[in-house]
Amino acid sequence: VSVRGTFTLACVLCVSRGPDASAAQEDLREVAGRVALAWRGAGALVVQKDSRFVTEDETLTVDIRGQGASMADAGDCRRVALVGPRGLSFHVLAALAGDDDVQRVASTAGVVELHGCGTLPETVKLKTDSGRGTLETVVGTSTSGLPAVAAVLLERTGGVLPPPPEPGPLPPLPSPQVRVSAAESREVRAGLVVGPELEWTAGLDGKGGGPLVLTEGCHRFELFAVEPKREPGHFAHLDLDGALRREGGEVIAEDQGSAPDVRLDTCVAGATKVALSFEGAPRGSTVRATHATHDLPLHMPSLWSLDARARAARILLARRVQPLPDDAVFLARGASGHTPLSMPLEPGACYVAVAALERGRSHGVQVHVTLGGRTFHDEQGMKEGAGLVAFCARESTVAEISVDTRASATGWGLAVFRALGGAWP
Amino acid sequence: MRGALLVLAMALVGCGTRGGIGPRAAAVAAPLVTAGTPDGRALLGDVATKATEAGAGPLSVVAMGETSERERLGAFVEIPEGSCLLGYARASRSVEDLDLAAFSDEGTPVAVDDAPDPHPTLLVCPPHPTRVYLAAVAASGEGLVAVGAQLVPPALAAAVGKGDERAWDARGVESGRGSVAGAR
Repeated sequence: VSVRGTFTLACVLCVSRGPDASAAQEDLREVAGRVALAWRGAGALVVQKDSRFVTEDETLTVDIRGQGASMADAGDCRRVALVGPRGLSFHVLAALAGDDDVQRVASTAGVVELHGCGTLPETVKLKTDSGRGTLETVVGTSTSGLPAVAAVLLERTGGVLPPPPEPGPLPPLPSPQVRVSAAESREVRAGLVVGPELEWTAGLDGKGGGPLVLTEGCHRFELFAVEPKREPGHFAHLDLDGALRREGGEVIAEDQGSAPDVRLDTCVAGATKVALSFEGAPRGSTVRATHATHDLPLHMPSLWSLDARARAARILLARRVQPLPDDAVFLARGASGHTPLSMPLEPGACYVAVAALERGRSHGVQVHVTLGGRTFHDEQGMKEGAGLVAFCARESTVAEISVDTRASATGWGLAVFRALGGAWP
Repeated sequence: MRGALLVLAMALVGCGTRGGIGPRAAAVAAPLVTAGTPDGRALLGDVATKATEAGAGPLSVVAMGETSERERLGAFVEIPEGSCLLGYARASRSVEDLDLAAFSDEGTPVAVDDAPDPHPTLLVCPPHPTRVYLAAVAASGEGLVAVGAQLVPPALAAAVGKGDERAWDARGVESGRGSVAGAR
């Protein structure tokens, strides 16, 4: 009886309170307070600054002046603790007076500690590398030694991991000819038609390119340059970047990654003049490019603008959707914001819903499809302005579809295609 | 009538002398400037009143200011143990999409309303951290944004949430199911 009673009471508590989220969350004021307490105990004048909330890739100036800064003695020493969440990665840049060198101190387990004596800077620059959360700042001033933060916050010491080994220089790249052959094989396997190779010469600044006319369809360009010469003691890393721009300067494809080669994918629904440009090649070197094409998918709605058809084609190919067997069974158009729609379904059939921007620019097009208790969604959208969802009706007869665009003055089109091969599970 | 003619004559004389030759001493005083910022309560007042009628405590303006797209505006808010926090952000009409989130010290989103509308609202009920960073971000558009917060007894949280939805219905704005969102 006693065991059953205890079990019942435990379950009642679970239901009424749920998991104790507050216990799982670390209150950083308390963590910083422990540092302040330890320093006060060691005879320091301690000031705890206002809390700040920082997000990824943010730079801020942090005041690290101590209490009674104006009366600070040249013999005083200062110790500063910058305490963030354990998952926050940041670094601090500080320059000592009369010293041109900027010291960079990276966080360990969300903590950076600075200390010094005499004339010290009043502020430091703090830059977050990843994560977000609250940042607490504690400054202790004393003529005697203060305990290190690591001795107070034992759980934030970060362990004694040895430094990672230096991986050494990158292995040499195969020649451009070998990489071109590999790329063409890859394109053939992806169902693309490989065209003649292209070639440009890089200028003294490593840049180059030229005009092109793209025919209706989808195009893939891959660019390859020779690897820069290696000198003893140095290893050069090839980082070629590239872009395709319309005549007006609008970027329709770009690759700014850190890979040695460039890959540019785009689709156009009519003949389009573009300029291909690259940078990062060794000066005066030859840059070779493969050019592969793919026809636009059939059965794209003729009501749609050329741009919308090109965007839809791009996402259909990128998501490797099988060729569309027939015209769309459902068409809709809308504008900015949230638009709910409803369409009848054939039980047992499968569908592909594609939404594409017809005008304007947006951070993405989101498509949600709800069938009873099942939800299918594409919240990622594409940079090019299209979203795609595939779903099977099973026993459902109606689909609730919603399209969201998060920018003003946009217009979109939605087409739902019946896919072949729908099967009951 | 005579008085009116006199005033008209004086006005005409004033117009005639305005374009006189050479600079003249200023005929009017310098404009009066009063330091300060716009009152966020003007943007938040309607919601605050509805929430108070439903049982919420008084309004605290968490943050207020001009924001551009993707800019963050917020502050730390203490939540007493055993209380819920109603947080909301409202903006001028030039902001088309406004998002609101409450983060713990560790940066974990405790509650988020990122629906594509300009009236984000969230309700944080126990268990919760002792303080949250309540921040609004203009996802689309730019303009004046105000973030407000009110404490709510947990027993009245449901009533306050429903009262907020009624407020949107009364304004003719779509009553999104997510208008009171993210209560965890």
